[in-house]
Amino acid sequence: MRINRREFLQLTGAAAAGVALGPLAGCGSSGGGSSSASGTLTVWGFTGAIEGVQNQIKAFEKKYPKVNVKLRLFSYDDIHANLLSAILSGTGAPDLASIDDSRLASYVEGLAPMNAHLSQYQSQFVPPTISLSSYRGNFYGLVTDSEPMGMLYRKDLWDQYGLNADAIETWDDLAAASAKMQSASGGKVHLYALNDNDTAAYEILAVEQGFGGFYFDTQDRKVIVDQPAIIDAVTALKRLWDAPGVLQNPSGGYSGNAMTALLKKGTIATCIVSPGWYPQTLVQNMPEQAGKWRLTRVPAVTRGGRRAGYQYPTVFVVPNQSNMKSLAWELEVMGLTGVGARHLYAVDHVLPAWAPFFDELKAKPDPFFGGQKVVEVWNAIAHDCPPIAFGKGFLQAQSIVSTHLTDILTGKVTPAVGMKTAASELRSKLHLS
Amino acid sequence: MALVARAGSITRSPRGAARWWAKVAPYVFISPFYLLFLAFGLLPILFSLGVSLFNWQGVAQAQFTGLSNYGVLLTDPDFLTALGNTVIVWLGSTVPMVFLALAFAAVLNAQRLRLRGFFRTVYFLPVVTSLVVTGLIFSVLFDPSIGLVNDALHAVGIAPINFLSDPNWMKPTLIMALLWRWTGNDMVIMLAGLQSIPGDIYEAATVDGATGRQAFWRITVPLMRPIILFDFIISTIGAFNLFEEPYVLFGGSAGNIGGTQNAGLVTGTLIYQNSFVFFNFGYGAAIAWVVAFIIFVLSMLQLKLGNKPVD
Repeated sequence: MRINRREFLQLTGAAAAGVALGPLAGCGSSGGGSSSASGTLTVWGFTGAIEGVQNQIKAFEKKYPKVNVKLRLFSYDDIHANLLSAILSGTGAPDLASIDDSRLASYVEGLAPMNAHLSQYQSQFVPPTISLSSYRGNFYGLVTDSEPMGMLYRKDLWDQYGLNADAIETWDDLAAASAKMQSASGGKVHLYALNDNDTAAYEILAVEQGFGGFYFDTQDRKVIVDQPAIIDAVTALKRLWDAPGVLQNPSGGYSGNAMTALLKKGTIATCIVSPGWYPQTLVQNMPEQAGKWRLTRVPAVTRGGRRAGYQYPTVFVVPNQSNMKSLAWELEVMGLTGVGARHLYAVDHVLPAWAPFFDELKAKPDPFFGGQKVVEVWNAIAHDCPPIAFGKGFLQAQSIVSTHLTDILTGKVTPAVGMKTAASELRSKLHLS
Repeated sequence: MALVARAGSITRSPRGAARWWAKVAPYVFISPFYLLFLAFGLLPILFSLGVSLFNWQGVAQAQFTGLSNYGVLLTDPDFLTALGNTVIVWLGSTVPMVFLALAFAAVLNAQRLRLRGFFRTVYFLPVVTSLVVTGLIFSVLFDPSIGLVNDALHAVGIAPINFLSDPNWMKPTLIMALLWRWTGNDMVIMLAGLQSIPGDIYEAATVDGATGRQAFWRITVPLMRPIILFDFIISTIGAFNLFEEPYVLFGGSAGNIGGTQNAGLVTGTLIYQNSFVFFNFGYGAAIAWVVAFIIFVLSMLQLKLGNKPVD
């Protein structure tokens, strides 16, 4: 059901984006440095996130003729390991680096807080992108894109089998719709696919229940996966899993070729994704389905409840080791606002986090979605999210909950037992309360 | 006399220096190894022991927690799963590998065999093949849709098998990959052992009327026992340190390094995942030390059981 940008970035690896640089002007500086500033500014990045900053390097060097920007591209996995090693060893860290936002908390003691710039940029970036690039009250950088979670569905198939998206308000409604499609199509079409270790589904539910820290409280001090509201949500997920017609555990998972083939054949009629996925997968692989897809909100746990989820974009950070923090910040701003932001969108088609450009896109109908103004829907979802934050043990929590979700969804344990066991394991491994 | 006295006064201190140098020189010449081992081997190993006593995540300040990481490990379902998978892979690969290696080596050692060098090279080629290439080839070979293996199964009426994502098939696939890759390495070791057995023992056995099979089981295998024991021990160490093959075959996503239901998770990938994906260095170090202890115990056990004098 879910395909996330992190998996996409990992799969594309170190493939060069082939971004062409152009003599474009920057959007304006934050007063980073004087034109007499000199030295080498090192930037680390990975394909899919670096393009906006990369685009602005020439303009930056024109403004600071004595500053040489040295850009180094890494694979998605390597940049995180290398940055950690550089920070821990006390030497070799770049002046500016892009990292996955879900890993931000692991680096914060080695990063320079950018609190001084917060007030200037808070209103320029769509919610909740400022909160998710902050940790315990400190703000660390700007993000490349916004990733609210929505439900994409094949309107033609839904109409054909008598389903109405407006009638889907809760996960139980979706489960009932699955049974209806199973019956109406004779089993030929599945309403949706679900993996038994689907942490992205869990993460949507956690946000819907008000837990913007997903597995922890937003101050990253307590484990919350055994809270009653979370157990209720996972119970709803279990009902979804058990619904007739669910395609369980598609081969290769959501990012695999099998899933793409099933969507292309029309065997699956719905998928829950972030905006970073569909431009790359849906539009490129299924151009013949243009006009058939629509976007709506994900269902809620309870009727009238929150219908929103959020994934994790990329954030640009400035390590403490940098001697050119102000200049690094200025390049970051140039790359993620104005011309840089527009260039990033032109290359990657990710939903921009920079509000002025986001507002321009809101008014544009998307022909792939039958003229629907999808950006408006993404915007509404994002505004409904609580403040989002990622704890230090986020990845480990994902792995632990994933294992226990499998036990829950396959019926080995009840949701209560499974989530309480997961909580206990999280607390002992991460030394949290 | 004056000449002798003068000679004596000349040689007293140089003789002492020469004696001192004669004692110290061997250590000086081998010191590069020890210095490098100290810097990049021993000190990091001791450091990791210290780290295992701390809660150290990412760049944060480490906090001393004593043996609590080891306590968590004893009931950690991921560790128990990884250990169980590793034991299955160890037994499933080591036992057939040693016997296959001995069999191939015995064939290659046969006097009548021609092109011995060619066969030796062919069997050893997988050992020197790039692991990434190996992983890619196995991924394609065992693909459920386009793989040759499933094509062959389809030809005999068997439904496609997801060798790389079906939990029931992931370990057998890993074992097959290990057998393919490392049997040649073991075969070379066995061949060296076989070539050290004096030929007159076999001549004497032939004169006494022993068949080829009897000679193999009554002469070759007993005389090869030290080599076989050595092979078992290094295979044990290799199995519990296994990382590359399962990572390449199943580690599509760093957060899901063990594949479906962690069926491909082994102790090597678990250590990597905890240390370099989750950045939970203290816990990763604790896992590493427990695995090292297990390897030590198993090696000592094998030495004790297998180290009997050869009659």
